[in-house]
This record gives sequence, C-alpha cells and structure tokens, in this order.
Amino acid sequence: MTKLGLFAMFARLAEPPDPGTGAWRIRTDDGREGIVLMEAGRLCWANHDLGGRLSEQIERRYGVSRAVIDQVSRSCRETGRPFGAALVELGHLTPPQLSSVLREHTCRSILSLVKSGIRDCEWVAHQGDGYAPETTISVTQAACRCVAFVKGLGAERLEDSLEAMLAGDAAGMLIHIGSRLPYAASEATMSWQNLRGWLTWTLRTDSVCPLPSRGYATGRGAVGGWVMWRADDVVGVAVTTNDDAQRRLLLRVASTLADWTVEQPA
Amino acid sequence: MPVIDLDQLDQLRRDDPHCLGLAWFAGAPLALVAASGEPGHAAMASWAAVAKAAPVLLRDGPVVSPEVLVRSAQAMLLLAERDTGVVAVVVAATGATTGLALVQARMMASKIAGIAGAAATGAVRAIGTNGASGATG
Repeated sequence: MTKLGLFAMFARLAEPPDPGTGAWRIRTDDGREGIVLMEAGRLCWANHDLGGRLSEQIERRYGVSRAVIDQVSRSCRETGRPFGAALVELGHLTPPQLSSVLREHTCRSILSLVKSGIRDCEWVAHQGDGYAPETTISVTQAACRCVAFVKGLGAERLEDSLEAMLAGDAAGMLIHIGSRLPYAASEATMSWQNLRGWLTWTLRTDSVCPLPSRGYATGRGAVGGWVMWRADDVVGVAVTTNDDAQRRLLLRVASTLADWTVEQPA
Repeated sequence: MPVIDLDQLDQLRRDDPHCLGLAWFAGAPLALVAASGEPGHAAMASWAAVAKAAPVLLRDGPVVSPEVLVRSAQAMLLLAERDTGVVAVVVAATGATTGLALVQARMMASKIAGIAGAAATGAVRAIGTNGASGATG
C-alpha cells in the first residue's frame, strides 16, 4: 500500500463502511500500530504509540497534577469507569475542557500516525452498540485541526472565529489563501467531498476574483446559497440550505466583517 | 453575436450617478458584448476579468446562483444570469447605502437584460460603436 499523506488519510477515514461505527486499525512503517475509533462516521478517539499521552496533555493544559491523574487512572482501571468522565465527575476538568483535550489528543495522534508513514489501514466493525463517546469530532473538523496544529495555530480559536460568523446557519470553513489549506471547519455537518469541492472552488474563485480584505461575495440559488468573505489572507466560505439562514448569514457577514477577528497564519 | 445600442447603455449609466459601469456578456466561453464605463472594482479591475470570473461565481459554486454580488469597501458588483447572457452592473456603495445600491443595481440589470434581449431578437439596430464606452464586439 502506498503511504498515505494527511489528506489521503482523512479521505480514507471519511468513508467507513456503514453504519460507520468501529475502528480503523492502522499499521505504520516503523511496525507500530495505531487506532482510530469512529462512531456513526465521526471520530471519537485515536491513539498511536508515538503520540503524546492524554494524561500528559491534561497535565500540561489544565494543571491537573500527575499524582491526581495516576490516582484517577488506577481507580478507573479497577472500576472500569471511563477515565475522562471520572476526571469531570471529580471536578478536575470541566466538560468543555475534557472535550477539548480529547479532540486535541485525537488529532495529534492522527498526525503522529501520518508522520510515521501509514502502511495499512483496516476497518473493524464494532460488534456492539458503539463506543458511547461523550465527545466526537467530524472528519472535516479533525482534518482542519490537524492542519492548524501543523502550522502552529490555535485550532479552537480559528473555529471560534468561524462559528462567530456562521452561528449555526451554515456549514463552512476557513481557508488560508497563501498555503491553499483549510484551517477550520464548521461544527455544522460538512462531508469530506464538500470540503474538497468547496476548497477547490474557493481557490479557483480567488484566482479569478480575489476579494479585497474585508470584502465579500454571495450567491443565492433555488434553495439556500453561499457567502465568501475575506480578512487579510484568510477566506471564509459558508453554504446554507434555506433562504432564512442565507439572509441571516449574509446580514451577519455584511454587518460584522469590518470588525471580525481571525488569527492570521504567518 | 447580436449587436446592442451602445447609446442606450451609456444613457443608462449616466441616469444613475452611482453607476460606475455596466456590461453585457454572452456566448461560451463568456465574452464581452458591450459595456459602458469600467468595472473599477477591487476584486475585478477589467471587463475581461469579469468575463472570466462570472461563470465560476454564477455556475460553479456550491449552490448554482443566477445572481451574485461581490462587495468591496467602495463598490458593489452585481452579476446576473439572464436568458440572453450575463449582465454586470457596478455601483458605488458605502456601508450605509448597500441596500439601496443593490436595488439600483438590480433595476439596472433588468434594463440591460431588456436591451440585450431586444438586440438578440433584432428589435434594436446597432447604431455604431461608441469608442468612449469601451464596447467590443
């Protein structure tokens, strides 16, 4: 099997056999193994031997002491209680903090897998009802977070900037024109094909109609429409599926774009 | 390719002090049929650039859109797909005048489409090329 790059890897992850609940067992060039768990087509956990440990990320990001982590970890092994949920129940993490650190761990593990050279990627369907994860992330969001991590950017801050504009009315993403890469994807559902298609179209549009900074373009079709906006070297593109959402989105872009803030890649 | 009454285009543009330029495109690939004024838009500086961008914006996007608006700080470009081709209208617009500018641009686009339609059916005879308008065949 040819080695998979980051986008090829996500293209593979994006198409698990129905119903999309199970595990990708991944073997890397160095003979190690990794795993990516999925729940109904969304990523819920990834791990790789060379990836950072979740406990280390919890300690680094939220200052939960090693002693506490070890104690909770031991207790969970004995009781079978999920580790992350236990940290929340005991008040060491808030649910959003748990969600954030789990997502970061998943993305960093996938990056580690890709960096190690993926040689084999095998799907194992889950035999039960699923993993009942508290936190999942879409394949498109994970791909964009990985790009942001690689570029040293704050993935969550970029997503916050995007969601400030979308406000649940549209699916969309932020694209860095200089690198031609997507840095953030919406919480609203966007398929892998959407991401690839909208990215290609946005870059093509930029080549024939480069929006000025703080400029925008919009089109409306029979149902819904699109809005594209720009702030310096970052372009946002959003797609709506009904007229009301399109009106709200356009009004928001038109009225807030002048003051909209987004982290600019170097 | 039908010919269009260029004086009518120039008159249309003069009638609206906010109008910076208007144009009609037709054919495949899309080509400029007639224009008055210049696009003068930050995103698209020439009518040739508009002709190149119009199909991408109108037809190739995530949602096919018969009408596309491109807004910069000072100007608004309206692209409208009509039976006879594509109409482009550029109007000066500041933040406070966006809504009004859009209404004016749409009205202008309808009038140009009407003129283009008449030209396409031969109801209007060409009266020559107005060099000042920047029209091409």
